[in-house]
Amino acid sequence: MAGLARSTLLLFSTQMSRVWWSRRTLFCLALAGAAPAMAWIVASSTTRVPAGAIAAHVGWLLLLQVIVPLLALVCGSAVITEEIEDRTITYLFSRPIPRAAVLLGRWLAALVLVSVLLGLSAALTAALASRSAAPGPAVDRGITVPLVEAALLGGAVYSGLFAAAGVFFRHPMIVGLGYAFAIEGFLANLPGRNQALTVQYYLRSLIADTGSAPWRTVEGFSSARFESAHSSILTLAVALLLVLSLACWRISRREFVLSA
Amino acid sequence: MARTDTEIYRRFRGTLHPGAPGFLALSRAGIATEAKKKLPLLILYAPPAIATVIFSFVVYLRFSLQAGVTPAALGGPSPAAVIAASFARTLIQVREQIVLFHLAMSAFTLLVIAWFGAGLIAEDRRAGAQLLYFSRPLTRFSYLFAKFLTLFFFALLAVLAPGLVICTVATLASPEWSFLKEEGRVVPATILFAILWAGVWSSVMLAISSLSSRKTFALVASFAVFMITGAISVLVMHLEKDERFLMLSLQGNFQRIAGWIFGMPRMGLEWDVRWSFAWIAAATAIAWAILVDRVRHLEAAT
Amino acid sequence: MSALLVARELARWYGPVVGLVDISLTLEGGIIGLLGPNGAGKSTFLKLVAGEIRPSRGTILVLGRDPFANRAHFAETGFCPQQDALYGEMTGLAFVTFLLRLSGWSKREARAQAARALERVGLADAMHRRTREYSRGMRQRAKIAQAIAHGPRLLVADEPLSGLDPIARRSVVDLLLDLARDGVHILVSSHVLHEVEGLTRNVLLLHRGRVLAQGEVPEIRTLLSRHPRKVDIHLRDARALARALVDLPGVRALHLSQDETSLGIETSDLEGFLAALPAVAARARAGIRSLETPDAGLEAVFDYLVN
Repeated sequence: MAGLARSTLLLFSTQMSRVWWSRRTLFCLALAGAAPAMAWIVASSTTRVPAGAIAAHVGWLLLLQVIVPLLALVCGSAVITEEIEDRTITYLFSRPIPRAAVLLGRWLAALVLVSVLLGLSAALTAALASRSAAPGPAVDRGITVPLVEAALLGGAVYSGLFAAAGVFFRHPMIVGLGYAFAIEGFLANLPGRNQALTVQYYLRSLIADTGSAPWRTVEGFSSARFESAHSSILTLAVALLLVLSLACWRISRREFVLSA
Repeated sequence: MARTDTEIYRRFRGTLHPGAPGFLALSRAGIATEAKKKLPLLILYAPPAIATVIFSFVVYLRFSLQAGVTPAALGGPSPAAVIAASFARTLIQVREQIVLFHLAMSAFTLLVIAWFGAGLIAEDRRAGAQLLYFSRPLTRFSYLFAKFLTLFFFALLAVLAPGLVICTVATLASPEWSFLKEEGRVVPATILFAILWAGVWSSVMLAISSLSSRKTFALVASFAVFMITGAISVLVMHLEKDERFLMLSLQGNFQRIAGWIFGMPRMGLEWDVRWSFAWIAAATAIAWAILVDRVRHLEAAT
Repeated sequence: MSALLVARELARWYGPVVGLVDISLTLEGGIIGLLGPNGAGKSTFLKLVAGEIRPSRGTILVLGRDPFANRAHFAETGFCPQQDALYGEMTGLAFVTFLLRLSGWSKREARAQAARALERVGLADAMHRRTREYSRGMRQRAKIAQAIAHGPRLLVADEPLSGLDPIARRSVVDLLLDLARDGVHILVSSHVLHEVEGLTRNVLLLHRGRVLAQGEVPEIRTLLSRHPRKVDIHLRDARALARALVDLPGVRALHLSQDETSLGIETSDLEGFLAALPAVAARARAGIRSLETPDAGLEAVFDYLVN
């Protein structure tokens, strides 16, 4: 266990020093910047949409439904796949360390990046939306806090899922795109308990449980039944733990055949 | 006198022999290479293929009912046949079926384009394959055009083939060729729309590929463009309660153009179609400007 | 001494593609050259030895252990893979230091040891440069440095000399010989035969996933009895010597050059022939200027075995 912790920490710190100025990070930065930019454009140009509605709509429709899964996909799927594509995984897997450390260490570095970018993106979206001078609900803690929480939680869970996908599948990017935008998109918008099979449902629950009135103006928040915030966080945490444990078990046994 | 020559790429100075254009050989090779990957082909084309069967069946039902065949005769006394028949009665126009097909399948057909297009230039650059191509008598434009043709082929397969199948079923099922006589302009409209759709998206996808250092980046970037512009247009439309904001996304513009090409004012999008044409023309021009610039600098990347 | 490597009915395939078939062998140690044409299964064999992949069938034990995902094995083994891949944004020193730290070294020790390893492969001047700026030869040497830095008992090197210029090649060969003198077992693959000849006479010949031959090159050559040994002699009077040799036991064929100054001999008993030659040549007054056995080397052995 000490070996796992030491190796994980070492891989995490090395990956952190490598990750900041990569092209992937720049792409993620642009992605994360789309939501605040949109909030700013709408807030600066509208005379009739209140700040609360802008933050809620941009927060849910753009940030949580599109940017969170996409950004987590870019960072999460690279955790193992980048090493495979670059054919450097040989160096890591021929060292006397638990193989799970490679997954955990690199995922933790991805998690830090995803959390920083999404946390900032959510906070900035709320802050820039409040520039709207239109009469109506303002941006308050009931909008900002659940938005930031949902962005962080979503980023953590999605990045963990996609990192695990890199262990199980040869093309985790395809699997991730299919999962996030086809399967989840289908299940989360179909009425019934099937919604509980999606990450989006628990993020929506988290917001619905703690959020303020403007959230109810967003499509999909008014009709469905939701879980409590605690139950949502717990469910997602258990799912994340389960998936990562399975991925750690699998990576210890799987061989990664690289082309010469 | 001794001389050294260490540059990797040298401009072709020989005489070109007349023959098949280089871009044809390159695009043929590209299509053949991708066609060998059976599993992606199967997975990517399965949703459009299934949808084609369903939409064709609805069209077939519609003309069968028009010819006086009862629902029970079509599929026995099963409830499914009755439901399908009543569905077919409500969906009267073949053109509506084709437009509906395009809208319903847009995510899947874009996935086809993204999959086949993402690596076309990015992987060449990664592998340094352009050094091989450009040491042959192949111009940069030929190279680009070959890549475009490769992608255009797969895109067209995803959008034109289903439309033509539906038209063929309509032609054969309609009594006394009534489909061709009354709705004949649907066929050229289908071809025109498919070419436009495939051409624009192929250009955009190739530009994204040329900007990416690896296939996976291009893949996710294409989805980012598609999803983010789509989400932005929908959210501004909701906030401002003005459907003209759908113009912010390429797919919104294609929806408007589809309504215009197929002559369907009931599509509900009322803005001037020239704006949509201008928008997709601008997107295509930007894509090609990026492509030309990136390909011009390809030789420096090893 | 226990065996370095024991393989029993070892096989490995990749879907429908066969990499190795039914290999049973024991390797005792020292420097072992793994030879074979492209696609012979050399890299597959080395990946199995390095513990990167597991057998599809059969067993392999390296230093008494199953190597796949075995941390004890990795602690004692250095692997220099064939692929030209490094962490481009790291310096050479950071790259080797990082991998040493994964092997359990402290930060300070790892840095000092990494610097020593890089010096040893001739990268002392370039160790602070990013590896993406390295030439192919420098990258190859950085790969070797990471494989030897932790002081392994076994070094598995897949084509370590490819991409190196003649001077760097010589220095890597010297380095491998040095390591072997220090007691490191080395399993090295190549399809450039003279490179391996400079390293070792102990070879394992693979072809189409099977072992064609194993052991010392001269012994293997002797075993190839259906191919008579060739001797080329340059001399003053070839006709006279040919006349004298024709009745010598073991001589199968004589080829006289047009100008009668060289003689090609094929014999099934090289040692007997070489023992008898001085006396016969003296009697014939042939005036021998030079003598060589062109098919005694690895290349000829390889050629006979593969073709």
